[in-house]
Amino acid sequence: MLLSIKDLFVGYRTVMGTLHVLDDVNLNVDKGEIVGIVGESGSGKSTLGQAIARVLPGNAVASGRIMVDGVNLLELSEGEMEKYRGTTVFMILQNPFTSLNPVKTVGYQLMEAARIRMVRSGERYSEDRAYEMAIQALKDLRFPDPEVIMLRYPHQLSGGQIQRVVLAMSLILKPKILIADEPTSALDVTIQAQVINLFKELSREMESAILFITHDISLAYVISTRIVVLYAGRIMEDGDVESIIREPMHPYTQGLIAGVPDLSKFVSGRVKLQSIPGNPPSFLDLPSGCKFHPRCPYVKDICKVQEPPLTRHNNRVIRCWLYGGG
Amino acid sequence: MTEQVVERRGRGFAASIWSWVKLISRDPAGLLGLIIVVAFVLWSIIQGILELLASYLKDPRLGWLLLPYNPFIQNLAGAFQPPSWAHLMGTNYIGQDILSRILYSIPYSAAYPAFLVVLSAILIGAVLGISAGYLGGWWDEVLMRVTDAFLSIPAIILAIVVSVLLKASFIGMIYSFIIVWWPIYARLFRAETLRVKAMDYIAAAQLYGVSPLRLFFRYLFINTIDPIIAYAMLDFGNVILGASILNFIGVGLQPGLPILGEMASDGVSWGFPKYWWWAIFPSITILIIALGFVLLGDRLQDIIGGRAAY
Amino acid sequence: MGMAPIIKTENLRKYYLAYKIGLLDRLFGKKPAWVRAVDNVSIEIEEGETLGLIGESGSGKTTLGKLLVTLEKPDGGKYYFMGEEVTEDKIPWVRQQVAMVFQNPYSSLNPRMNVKDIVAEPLGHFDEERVREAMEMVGLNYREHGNKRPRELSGGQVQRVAIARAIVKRPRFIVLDEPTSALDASLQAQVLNLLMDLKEELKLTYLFITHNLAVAYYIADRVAIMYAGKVVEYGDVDEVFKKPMHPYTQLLMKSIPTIGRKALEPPTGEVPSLINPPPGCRFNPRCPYAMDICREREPEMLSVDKRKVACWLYK
Repeated sequence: MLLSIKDLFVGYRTVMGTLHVLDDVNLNVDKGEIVGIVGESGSGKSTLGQAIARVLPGNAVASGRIMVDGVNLLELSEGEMEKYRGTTVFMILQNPFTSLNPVKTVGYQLMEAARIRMVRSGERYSEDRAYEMAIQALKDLRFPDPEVIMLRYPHQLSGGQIQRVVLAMSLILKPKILIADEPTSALDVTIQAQVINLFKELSREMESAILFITHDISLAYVISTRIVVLYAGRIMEDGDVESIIREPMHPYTQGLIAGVPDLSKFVSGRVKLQSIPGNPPSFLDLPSGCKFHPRCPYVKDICKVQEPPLTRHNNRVIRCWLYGGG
Repeated sequence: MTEQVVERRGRGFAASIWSWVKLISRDPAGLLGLIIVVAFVLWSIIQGILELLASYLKDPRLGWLLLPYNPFIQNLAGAFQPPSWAHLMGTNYIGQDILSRILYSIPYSAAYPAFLVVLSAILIGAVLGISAGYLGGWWDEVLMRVTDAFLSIPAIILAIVVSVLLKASFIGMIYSFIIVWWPIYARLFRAETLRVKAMDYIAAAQLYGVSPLRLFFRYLFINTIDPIIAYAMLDFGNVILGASILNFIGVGLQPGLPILGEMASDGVSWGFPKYWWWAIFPSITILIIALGFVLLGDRLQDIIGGRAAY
Repeated sequence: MGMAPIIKTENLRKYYLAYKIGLLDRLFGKKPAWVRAVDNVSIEIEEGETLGLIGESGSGKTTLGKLLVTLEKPDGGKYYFMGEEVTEDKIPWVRQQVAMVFQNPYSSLNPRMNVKDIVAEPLGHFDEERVREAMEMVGLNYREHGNKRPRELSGGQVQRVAIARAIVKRPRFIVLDEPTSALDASLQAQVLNLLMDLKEELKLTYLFITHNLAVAYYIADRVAIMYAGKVVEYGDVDEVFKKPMHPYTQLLMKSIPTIGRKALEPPTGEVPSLINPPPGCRFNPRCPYAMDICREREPEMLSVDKRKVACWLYK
């Protein structure tokens, strides 16, 4: 198992005390898997990505284990973690315009990535080889004139192009774990589709464990092999993409799917979209027991009092009293 | 995507002031600045009121009610006393207690210039800067060129020139400072206005026919003022320093009244280095007050700018 | 459905200057370059209908929306509101009867005003009755939420405030610019259903701007697809979706992630420059069916049954 997260807890220290964000996160991702982490804003999904990449803000506290190759990433010092960034864990961010260094050319940044890759693999650095790697990566990302792009600065590129450059970087680095945090949310629909297609192609080539964080469940469907549903900082459901979409077990997942406007629903006339009543909770004021209980159509007494644990049902992991939980 | 906003529950004005205090104090420099500024403001208010009452009620003793000594009383026998328990900061050339003179002068020597200048500059800067940013066009171009001209000349030089032209009195100095000070605020307001102008709530207000006056106050002014407040805090210190410098060279004095900058100047001309306390204590006072504003303003800018560490 | 069109535009145009031309630039003979945000758009919206305006960024959809509520003044063409041509002096009259809901809920409300004042603003004076009514219609509680500031509310609630503000004056026509794009998935359905209910109750007409085809299908009666400042297809929503005619519409449908279909088939290339659009049909560089004429002449709007398409394939 390439990535193994056990009992991860993340909180933020604020003027008002410690905010509990992520809790009881247990997740295993193997190489070649693309796990779609689906959550709304306030679900903690970005925090999860940041925790794995160890780029949490200064006031964050984390406990638990994030195991990669037998090492707990949370226990590494900043200096040790430096060696893991890039080739072990790499992150693609949502806002393309703040992802790249604005004062260095694309070529410089790609060759820097190549240098890191070579050094970490024990290869001797060669500028020619780095240039080759950069050009090849740009070609794989379907840039028609890679030599020209190498000379460009980030502000001269469009959002879609920047995301493709970042993807080229990850092709070069070949990280074991790739975290993509809403990488296409800021892009137009047609550009998003282009980038997603490239992403799918490359993930086959990279053999990484990929976590694709998004709020768009239709997008998660298209890209993932597995879906993990996050709500209020907890994993609610975790399962194979086709079965979880066809037969969602958790009431929240069911509500999400029933409420999202998706063309597949309207094949035979308009179906009224069901909405989940209420609002997602604020971390300042989490409900007792199961965090979803105030909005759940099947709420029972025990849900209000005790939080259900993560349990396994055939190939599904679920956190819900409806399915027992011992 | 809607972001999860961590917000203070509105628990009232007092509670929100307290959480600002807590935020500021997380940084030791900010805390020091806050203490100095609060002490300065409180003292200026109390002593300022006493001085006003003294002149209104024609009873000058109120003016030194809280001071160790009457700052005006001369005692030639006790001149040039070094700091001692009797006179914590020593006495000057005619035996006046320096500590009392410093405390007496703080309201009008430091506080009034600072607040008068900065508040006027904010008002003028707001009207000109916001209108330039919002209306754009030639009005904006004109304002930009005018502020360019003002800002290209060092403030102090300009202030000296203008105040000499205005007869070097205390009021003349205040006016000259205001003239020199407003351009920066105009630019700050203009920049913020450009940012706010792009917001949809301004478009909505236009659509719903909000009157220009209401638009100015309730939409533009109130939403652009945040960074200016933090800057103004730093600026109080600048004005105090600037005013003291002008006082030092003899501009903006009020005959008969002790003035911090003037005391320092006299102390340097006539008492330095033998009677060092005469020059040093007023100077340190100016320095500490200005420093307080700088530290506090710096911390506020960090907090408002989102760079604050928790 | 309504009788006469409440909104009608004829060859509406809006161009922006691409960059500022200062005094010195004029001396050096710098020529202005125009961003053709909305280029000869002719559409009609019937009373009581929801027209879905679909497009990506740079399509001109937001600009068109702003033109229809007079937040922008057209550079060419005509705009008719309720049968009257909208000239400069008619603008206040139009503004009395229209409203707009913006995409980003937080930036569309004055952060330093209370909810109840925000909702009351279009009225010109504070009228508690009407504010309370508007808030209740959108599912907000006057007592609980009225005195709050926008930052104390959640995204969904903030958007409801924006909607309450839009309906408080009982307008006839509302332009909604991606009102649910910035909302969480679980709130989109709530707000869409609310908008549909309000339309019935208050007899409104909507221009619903979105890039999300599924949302447009759900809420619109007719749709207009925009690309690079022009309308390329226009018709009844069921028909356009079941049988999209314009190549761009077809490719758009294949680019949207849809449950049950793992493959996406987007067009190649990027959205064209609006300053120097490609000659002829703006879509021709990316069109799989591009013919010679497409590169030479801009297609006119052709009527095929009740559909309008701007494409040489249908001549």
